Amino acid sequence: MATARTRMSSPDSRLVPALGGGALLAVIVIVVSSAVASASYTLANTVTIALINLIALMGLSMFSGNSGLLSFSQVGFMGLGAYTAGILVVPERIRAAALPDLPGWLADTHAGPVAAIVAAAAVAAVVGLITGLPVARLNGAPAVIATLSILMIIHVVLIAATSITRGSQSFYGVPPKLAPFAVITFLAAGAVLLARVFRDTRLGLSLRASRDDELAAAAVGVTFRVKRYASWVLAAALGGAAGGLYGFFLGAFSPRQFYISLTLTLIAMLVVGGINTVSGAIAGVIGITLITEVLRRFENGFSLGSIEVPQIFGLTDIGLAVAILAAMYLRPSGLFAHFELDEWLRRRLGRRFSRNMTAVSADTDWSLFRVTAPAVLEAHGVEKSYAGVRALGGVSLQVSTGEILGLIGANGSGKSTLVNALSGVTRPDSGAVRLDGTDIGGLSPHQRSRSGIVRTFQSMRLFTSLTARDNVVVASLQAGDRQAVRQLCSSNGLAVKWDQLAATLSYGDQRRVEIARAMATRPRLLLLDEPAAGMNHDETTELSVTLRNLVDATGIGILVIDHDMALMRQLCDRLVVLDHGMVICEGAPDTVLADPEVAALYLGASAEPADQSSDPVSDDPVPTKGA
Amino acid sequence: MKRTLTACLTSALLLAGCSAAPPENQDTTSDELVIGVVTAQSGALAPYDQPALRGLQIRVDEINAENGVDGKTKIRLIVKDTRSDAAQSSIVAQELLGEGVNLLVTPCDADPSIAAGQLAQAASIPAISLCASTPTLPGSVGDFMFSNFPGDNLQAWAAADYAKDQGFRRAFVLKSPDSAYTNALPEYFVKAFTAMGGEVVGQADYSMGQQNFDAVISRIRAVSPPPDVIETAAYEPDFPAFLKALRGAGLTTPVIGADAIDTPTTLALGEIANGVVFTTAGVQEPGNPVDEFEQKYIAKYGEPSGTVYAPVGYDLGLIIEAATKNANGDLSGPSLRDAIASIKDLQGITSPITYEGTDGMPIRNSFLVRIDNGARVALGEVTPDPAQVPAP
Repeated sequence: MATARTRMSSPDSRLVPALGGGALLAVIVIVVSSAVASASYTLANTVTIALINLIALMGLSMFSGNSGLLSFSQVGFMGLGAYTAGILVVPERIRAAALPDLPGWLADTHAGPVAAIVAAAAVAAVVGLITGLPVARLNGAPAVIATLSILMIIHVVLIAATSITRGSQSFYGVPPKLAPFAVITFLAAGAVLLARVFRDTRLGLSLRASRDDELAAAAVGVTFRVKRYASWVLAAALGGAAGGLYGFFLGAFSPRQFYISLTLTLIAMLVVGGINTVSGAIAGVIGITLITEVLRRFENGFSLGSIEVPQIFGLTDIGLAVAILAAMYLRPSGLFAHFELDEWLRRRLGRRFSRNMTAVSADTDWSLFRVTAPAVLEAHGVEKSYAGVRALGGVSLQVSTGEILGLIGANGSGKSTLVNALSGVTRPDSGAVRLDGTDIGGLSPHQRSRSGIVRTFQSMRLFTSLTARDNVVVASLQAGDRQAVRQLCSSNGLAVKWDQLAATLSYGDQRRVEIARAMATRPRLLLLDEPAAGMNHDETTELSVTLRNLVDATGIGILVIDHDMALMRQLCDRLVVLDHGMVICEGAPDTVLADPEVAALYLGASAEPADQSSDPVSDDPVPTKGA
Repeated sequence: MKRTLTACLTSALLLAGCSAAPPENQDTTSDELVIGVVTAQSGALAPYDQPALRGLQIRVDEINAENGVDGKTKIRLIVKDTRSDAAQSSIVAQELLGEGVNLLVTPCDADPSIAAGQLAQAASIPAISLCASTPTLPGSVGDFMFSNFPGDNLQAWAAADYAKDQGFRRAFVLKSPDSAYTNALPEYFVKAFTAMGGEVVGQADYSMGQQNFDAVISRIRAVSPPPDVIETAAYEPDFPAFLKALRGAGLTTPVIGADAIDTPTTLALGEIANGVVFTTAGVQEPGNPVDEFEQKYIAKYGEPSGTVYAPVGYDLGLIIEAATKNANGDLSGPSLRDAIASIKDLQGITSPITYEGTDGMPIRNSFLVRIDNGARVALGEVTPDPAQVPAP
């Protein structure tokens, strides 16, 4: 246990499992490819191509696997790499014949194979720096379309740069056997290790969190544009290197070899194996290569006992198509959907590893989260209208560290809009939001999160394809505190199956993870939007105790919205009542809830057809239950 | 001395232990000629490779039915599909060379032919493309590389020669930078036509696969006085789209195309294709050798070949047969290479074929064909004048 503690306290120890996993995958790649290649000379060529594809795929996996955006550009970067490396290694004699119009400075530049591959990666990375600018800014389908147009632009440029590339004519003259099999194997293994570790670094984890939920990521201080840009450039560099090796292998090529067909092959490999994981990409390369190799041996016809099967040209393509369809039907997220091979093995092998990590402490040491400086968050005359409908009509309130402020009101009264305004998700039309007297209206959600104002969402927004623990780890990255994760993911009060995917947890556990995730950012003020929604009575009581303990032990302040009046009465120090965007009542819970106007309003509002935005289970508008 | 011997032995052992080394070529004086065929039997290049391979197969079957070349050397084809994929072409070429083939047959496309040819060149095994027309192909590889089709420059020269004979003085040229064929052939035409005193009054580029040719049509309309003829190497689906747009716009300018439009699709275009002239490598006329070949093709495959690539493939069988005879039993790579390079005026079924004095791109006749109500009408055979054909 002592060693575990030491390990956890060093800042990079978090990456130890990823390094181990990457090493495992790299060894698998080396062993499998050398074993197959040593079996026969002809298979060695097939394995070589598979390994080159794997290097390009590792780049693609670093970008697409973490950001969730399919990239069509990778083969374009391979093309740039192939031409860069090719031009540098073509012998003088052939170069003079094939590329007579090469610009002077380039005509005199020659390089060995190693330098040529480095140059290929560098050129692709530089183009990645330029093309990454739009890709980092766009989201969803527009981003994917942008990657497609980048592929088309690179293709057109390769064709148009006739004096350098010979245009659409074959580029030829690359001497054979420039890259020995062993070198390609080790480069592929290195790429695998890099991609696997990248996935769990701050960059990879932040990208995956933002992929699952951009808004929730911002709410815990995680941004992704720059990180996505970095992963794009890395992907381009690996693509360039892979392209250089591909060019060495082909010996002669033209721009159309680096276009749609190869793109579809790579994407098929990625999708069959699982776009989200490095293990999936490896499985995809192995699977697709295997199917192709087996089927093409039967294309020339074969005999099944007494039956002679004639030549079936195209059998390979048919087989590939069937394999992809079957994979998509049986495992829509691919063979390795969310977990890497090492993660899966660890879960299978009795979870020894993770138990060590959780067993460090039995109780959450909340003192770690103690707020050092008091804070006051203030809304001053905040107004907000949506399409002419006034959601907030000049609301003023304050919440301070050390107190729990409850915000109640009928559906549509403006509670969530107010939380949005306080957390920076929406900008008020007028009025001010201040933190300790300073106007923070110009700060974005992630900046507010970093200054200590952290929110949760009415519709729980966990990072669903991350484990419960990784949800908390991502949030802790900004505060840079590993202790927090250890405390949160081990306590009795937050007993959650931390190694499961967030999406597969029970509802109550998801709510607990949500609070743990918010706490991992080391907040001063928590804004909780209906934290008890969907919970049963026991769970609600437990939540109430947890929140109260949290405030007592750490001194944070909480603003909480809920419809459960019993919970609110029990939990809150003060209540604020909103109605049609106005504060109509404020004070101690007993006083406020006894107010006939509040009671009447609540009953009246619930009699009207309420809007459907809130969770139906949570609606309990009668303020007398359990009181 | 002793140390040198040890070093030699060690390196020999190391070499022997290296399983990834290709096996050495086997006995080259056997009574069997083994031909490795690298072709696309599926994918984008299959429409050219597949009929050409079938044509080759017919001749090989005939030779073997007569107990081989000169009654003794049988021919065995090892066919491997590249699926029109570049990497696969390199892989299967290496496989076939590793199996010790005497000769490599490569696809109709220049890229995979160069890739496979470079490997064959390094192994000193001759390689012949089934029907690539890129005239720079053999020069890009070396002295073991050959092709089997009138080069783009020969065809372009034949087209220019025909245009001149028709009295066309002003030509408009349509090309696409997207492939070597669609780009280079019209450029050869420009060279040949201007050398003959013609004038190229306009040029337009298109993208392969583009649907709309309105911009190109406006460019043609803008030429004043109008061009006498339009020359292009566009093919499906671009050529039909262009032709429909051109005739739809009311322009009746004659159009000259190249061999890639010699397909059933073009013939099926109906009235708008009437009068379109193209250059190609051979033509079927009742009773001529190509016609006889077509009967054999139908007998074997149950349908007409529908393209010139099939008889050209049969011609390749004749070339290999002649080379085997010339080699006098020595089927080693250099011997076969020399045997092919010395072929002169071989009577192919499409045209006389000569490799002697060339760099590997054969001298073959081009044929001019006019489309008339969905049928090919042979206009004539053009024997190229090497002095006038544009240099590759």
